[in-house]
Amino acid sequence: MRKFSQKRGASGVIVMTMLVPVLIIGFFAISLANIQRSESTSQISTDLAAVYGGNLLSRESDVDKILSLSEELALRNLIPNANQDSGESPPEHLRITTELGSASIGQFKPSFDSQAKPTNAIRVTAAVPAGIIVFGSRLSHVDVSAHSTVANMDRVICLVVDRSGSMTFDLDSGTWLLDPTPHPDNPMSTHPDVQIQQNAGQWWKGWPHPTRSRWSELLPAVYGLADELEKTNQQEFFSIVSYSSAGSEHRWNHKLKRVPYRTTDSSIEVRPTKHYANAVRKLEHKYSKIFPVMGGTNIAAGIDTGARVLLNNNSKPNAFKTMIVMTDGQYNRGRAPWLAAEDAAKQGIEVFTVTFSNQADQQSMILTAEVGNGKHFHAVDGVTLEEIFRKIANMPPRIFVD
Amino acid sequence: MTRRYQQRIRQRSSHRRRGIESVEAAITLPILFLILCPVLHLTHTWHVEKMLKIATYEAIKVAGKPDGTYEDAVVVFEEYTNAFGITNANLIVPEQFQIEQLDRDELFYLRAEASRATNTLPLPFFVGFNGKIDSGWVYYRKEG
Repeated sequence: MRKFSQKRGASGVIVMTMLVPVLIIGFFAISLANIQRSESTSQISTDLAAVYGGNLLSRESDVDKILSLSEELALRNLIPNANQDSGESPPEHLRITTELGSASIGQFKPSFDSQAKPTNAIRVTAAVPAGIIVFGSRLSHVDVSAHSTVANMDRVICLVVDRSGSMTFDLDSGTWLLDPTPHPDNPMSTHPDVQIQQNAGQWWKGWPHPTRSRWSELLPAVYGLADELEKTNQQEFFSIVSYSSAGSEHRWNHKLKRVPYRTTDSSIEVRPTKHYANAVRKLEHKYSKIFPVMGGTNIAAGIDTGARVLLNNNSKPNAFKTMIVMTDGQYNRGRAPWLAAEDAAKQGIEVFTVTFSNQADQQSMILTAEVGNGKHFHAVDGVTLEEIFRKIANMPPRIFVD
Repeated sequence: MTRRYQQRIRQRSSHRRRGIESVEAAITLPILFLILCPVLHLTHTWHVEKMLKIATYEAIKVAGKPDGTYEDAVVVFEEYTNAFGITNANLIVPEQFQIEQLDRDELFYLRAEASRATNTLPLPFFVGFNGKIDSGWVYYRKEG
């Protein structure tokens, strides 16, 4: 009888004994979940700090500012549920380190070296205390660490500019600027021969007016692009290609003779260089003194030539290739620009498009940018055009190295 | 006592024992389950919280772009929450921030919350159906 009553509570004892391991497993599961939560938070914090640091790196030269702002951002994200004004102090064991270095993508895997130059990457590392939690208190400190490295990769940039006749158009009227009034840049307007003087308005139908033509608005914007490239930490190769259409037309030259000028669909104005301002000066000089701005609009030819320049062996083979295609009109020669952009994109080139003036065919260029894996921008005036060029210059491809 | 009588006694006591074991198990197993349920609820809540934070992180990166807008951020946020299977989630921007009008390098923060009731495990012993699961603030600065 005694034996029987003892056996009657046996399963209860077993279950009660099981409670202890169940409780341990429960706390272990909670702790594990907590560690995972900390891991995810620290990864997010370092990722955001590194992405922002990468952005700062592309436009700032003050190393201390880059490092301190990135570190501060990581810290803000690491303090759980901290409000901006809470003044909550960071946990004792929390450690954040930020360092600048050089990252490159080799054939197999990306690498980061804090000692190497040029500086193109930022690494943010955070170690956060997680730990085993029992009854709300942390029994032991387990440091969960995460790191993120973001690199601004090298770029080769090719600016493809429109040199068709419409680039000499008057900014206000959007048509030929046939102004015969005396102007120092118009030798016909100051010529002693009255007959030549009477035709002075024709001068601007080929040679862009220095302040009132679309071309005159383009040049400061391109200088802005060069200036912005100068400020970035990367050393981009920069080239310029121009396009209009093949043909031959008579224009007045600087010796005041009416001579034929033979235009090509596209031409390489400046081969890849690191002397950005010089490149723009060369373009400015050519189309104010040597060759008139004229012809139709063969955008595809410009894109094709730009792609050839970017893929040239002299360009950095591992660098990202960016093409900026600018137009003030719509294509009326050659194949559709989006077909050319598609070909360029297949070869790893990113095609940005910029339309300038309200007469530009934005829809075609939006499509061109879409198939070219780039972005489209529209500028109604020179100031906006310069802002856009500066923005593109500040958009180096940022990637997570690890 | 015959051998047959002894066998019958043994059989009866074995049946009674089995019945008592079932009763004991029926009482103690719910206790174990009761202990397990809050653990599952808590860890699941943390999981949802983590996923919300990841969705907020992706959204704030988009909002932080120079031309990033609140609408762009919401689109990305919804893409992620849908992919994670989180329902009734909202991206919250404090009133003082107009994402489109932030200056370069200006600090801003977002958070997300989701209904606890629709994102819980289908298990009993759950309290706090009216509450929200919160991602916590995620900070970023407007890129230039």
